[in-house]
Amino acid sequence: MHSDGHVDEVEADLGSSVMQAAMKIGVDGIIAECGGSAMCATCHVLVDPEWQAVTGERNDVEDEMLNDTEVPRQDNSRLSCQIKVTEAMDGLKLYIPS
Amino acid sequence: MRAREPIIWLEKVGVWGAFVDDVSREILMDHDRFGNAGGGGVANYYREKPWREPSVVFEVDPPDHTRTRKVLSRLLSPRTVRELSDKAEALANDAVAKARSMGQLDFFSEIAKPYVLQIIPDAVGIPEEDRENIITYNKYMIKGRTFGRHEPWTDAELEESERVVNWVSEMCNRDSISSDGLGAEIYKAADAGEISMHEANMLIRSFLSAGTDTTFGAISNAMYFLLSNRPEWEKLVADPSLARNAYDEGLRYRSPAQTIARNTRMEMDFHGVHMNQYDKIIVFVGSANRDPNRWDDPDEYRVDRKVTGQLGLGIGIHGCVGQMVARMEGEKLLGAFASSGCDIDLGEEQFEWAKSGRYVGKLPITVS
Repeated sequence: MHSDGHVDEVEADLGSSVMQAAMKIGVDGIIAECGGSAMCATCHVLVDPEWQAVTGERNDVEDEMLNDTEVPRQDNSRLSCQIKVTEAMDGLKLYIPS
Repeated sequence: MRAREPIIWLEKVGVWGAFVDDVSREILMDHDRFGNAGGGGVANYYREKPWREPSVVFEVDPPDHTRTRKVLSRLLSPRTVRELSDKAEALANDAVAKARSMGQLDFFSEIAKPYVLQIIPDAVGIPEEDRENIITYNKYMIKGRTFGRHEPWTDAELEESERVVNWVSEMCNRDSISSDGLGAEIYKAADAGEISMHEANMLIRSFLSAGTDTTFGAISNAMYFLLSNRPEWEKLVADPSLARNAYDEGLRYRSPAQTIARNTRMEMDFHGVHMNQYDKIIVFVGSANRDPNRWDDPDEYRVDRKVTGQLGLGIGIHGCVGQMVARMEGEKLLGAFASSGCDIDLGEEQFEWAKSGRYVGKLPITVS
């Protein structure tokens, strides 16, 4: 969901990253300049609190990179390139930070 | 050359090869099955002695990799890029002035090389003298891990390689580098117990090795592609904000790193072939970056192509950790030339590829 309220529905391949799924349809706000190397902090998403358990924990490098996002990080911030798509994520809700 | 099969066995060299985009991506993103501890080149560290001590970030797997990568990620973050970009812009403007005053020059050795050699090495904090030794070191590093490594080395090569290895080794010591700067920060991470002192020493080496000729090579490549595809250069002059993209497209079109090495971590079946544990796989990213299944008109260099996701810098946990700095350097230099108002053209003299084939060796241009 974007800050203006509009929603992009994304179909994702199991095993790919949330970022890759977003890039497939060109979701606004997901730039992914480094292509998924956890180096650019331009794939920043906020995970809906209800879904945080399913998406798992941040990894060390990701945690470091989240200090450099354009929109300051929050508790539910993730780099979408570091979230691997699983079956349990059907219906996953994410917000584009602004 | 591109094989259409997902993965093929390269008999002569004794390695697997991947040439298409989707399989290349699959291999590079899967660090559970495909690791780096076997070495960053054709030489397989599970089966032969490495030419040099393996990189503590590039030639290791998690969890060792995670510790060292984390330190480099922090030091090469977007924040660092912002801090370096004013200096880069000033150097880029100086480079334009130099080019203007020379009129006819070799862009590679007169412009791109000195520009890049003043950014990361300065940021790391090594002395100004003899930085050419880094480039010579890299030449031997590549030679030592690639196809021709078993051919006898000449006495001159043995002597020169030993000299530059010792020089690089010396530069990595804590007392060689300035007490502020990225090098000092690496040692502070060791003080804090994040990495060992030895790893800190080795990471200085990584910085110097990786942040130099690949970058000025890629910038020179991009300049060559622009000037030899005149309409693309005109597009960039009309809109210099395309400079960053022009650099990235140059990497897609012909990256200095044409191949990326992996090794299997276990025995496995993969796309119909059976692989042994610790087999080496060469991912031909140069080929994948021209895959028509992934890229429209792949053999055309286009400055306005949507090029994010190109494989020339790798992807995944071993994707180039300095890529944001590299892109900034490329953006600033190409942007400065494009917005200079000068007439810039390929020179009369013959253009050359470097002996290694990794990038332009000589790029004569005229500037007026």
